Amino acid sequence: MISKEYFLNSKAELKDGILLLNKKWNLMEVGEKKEIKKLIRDICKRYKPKRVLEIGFGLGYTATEFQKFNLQKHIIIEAHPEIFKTAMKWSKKYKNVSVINCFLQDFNYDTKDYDLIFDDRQELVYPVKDGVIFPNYKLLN
Amino acid sequence: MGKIITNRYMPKKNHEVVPIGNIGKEPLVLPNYSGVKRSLNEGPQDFNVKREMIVYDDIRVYFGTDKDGYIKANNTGMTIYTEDEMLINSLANLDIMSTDGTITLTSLNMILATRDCTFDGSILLKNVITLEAGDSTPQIKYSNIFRGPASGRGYSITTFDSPEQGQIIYIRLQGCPITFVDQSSGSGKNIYMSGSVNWTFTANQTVTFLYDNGNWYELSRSLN
Repeated sequence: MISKEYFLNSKAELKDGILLLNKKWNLMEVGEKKEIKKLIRDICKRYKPKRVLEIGFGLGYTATEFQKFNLQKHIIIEAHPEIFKTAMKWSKKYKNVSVINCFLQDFNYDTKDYDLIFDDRQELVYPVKDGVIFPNYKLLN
Repeated sequence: MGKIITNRYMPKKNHEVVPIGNIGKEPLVLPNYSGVKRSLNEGPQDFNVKREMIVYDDIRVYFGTDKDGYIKANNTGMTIYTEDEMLINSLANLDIMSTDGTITLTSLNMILATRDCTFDGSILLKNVITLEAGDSTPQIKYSNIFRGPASGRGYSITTFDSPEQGQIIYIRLQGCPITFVDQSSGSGKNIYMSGSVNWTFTANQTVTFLYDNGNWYELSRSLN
């Protein structure tokens, strides 16, 4: 675990295909692109969600894939300030999407407002219950 | 009872020698006489302290060349304590022996053997450390056995921080998948994986590495 302050002040950098914080903490990798995009395609084709809460922007692969499925509502939570800026820049090219800069733990939401929660964070600050592996998704309503 | 002999380097000033007649009743206090070399019991008798002895300066015990040194606490424990460094120096073998108990070496820092160690008995390594999720260069100092995180997002390890020459580490994966990156791939550093191929390990699988000459070499894996 690292502190919230360390996390917020860390430098995000894509180096040799790995998105790292302070050259140490692994957030996501370019090599995951094919696999994770396929996962999103499979979820969207099967469950046809229209309102999606996405946790963790990373390299934007999942967000870009979700946008191919004409969502009515697409909320992305991203805690890291530099990655949030990248996500904001990305979001200008798409519709019905909002990016929020906060930790999931600080985000108040009603599950009734979403059909799907896709959680793809690399949790470095808050403890995670044993056995919970990311990415994972939860179908609602 | 031995007698106190103060026949060397007597100081000019008067000083008080604590009578030892009270031994067994009060603590025996040997004050610090600057410049005074005092010998206790240069005769053949034993020097016995039945209660407590307080020495304000150093205490040196010289044994005869034909006798083994012997310090004994009867029917109770013994503590030798210092607030600074302590040296136990032997010009020959040094034996630390417990005939009916455990010998424990405790340090808040590191216990270091500077030469070879031989164990006639078994060795049990009990310090199993859980790696931090997301740490691409985990700290492996002072341990050999590690387990992967029980939760989190899968991630890659490109090297291990603070290795020691010859260190062997064993890693058992838990819930969080970990990819070990071979040195030949783009993000690789100094891990030589079997077949020079990155490999993702999952729950209950194990992998072992040896650190030698600045590189980590995979010794074995078990895809349980």
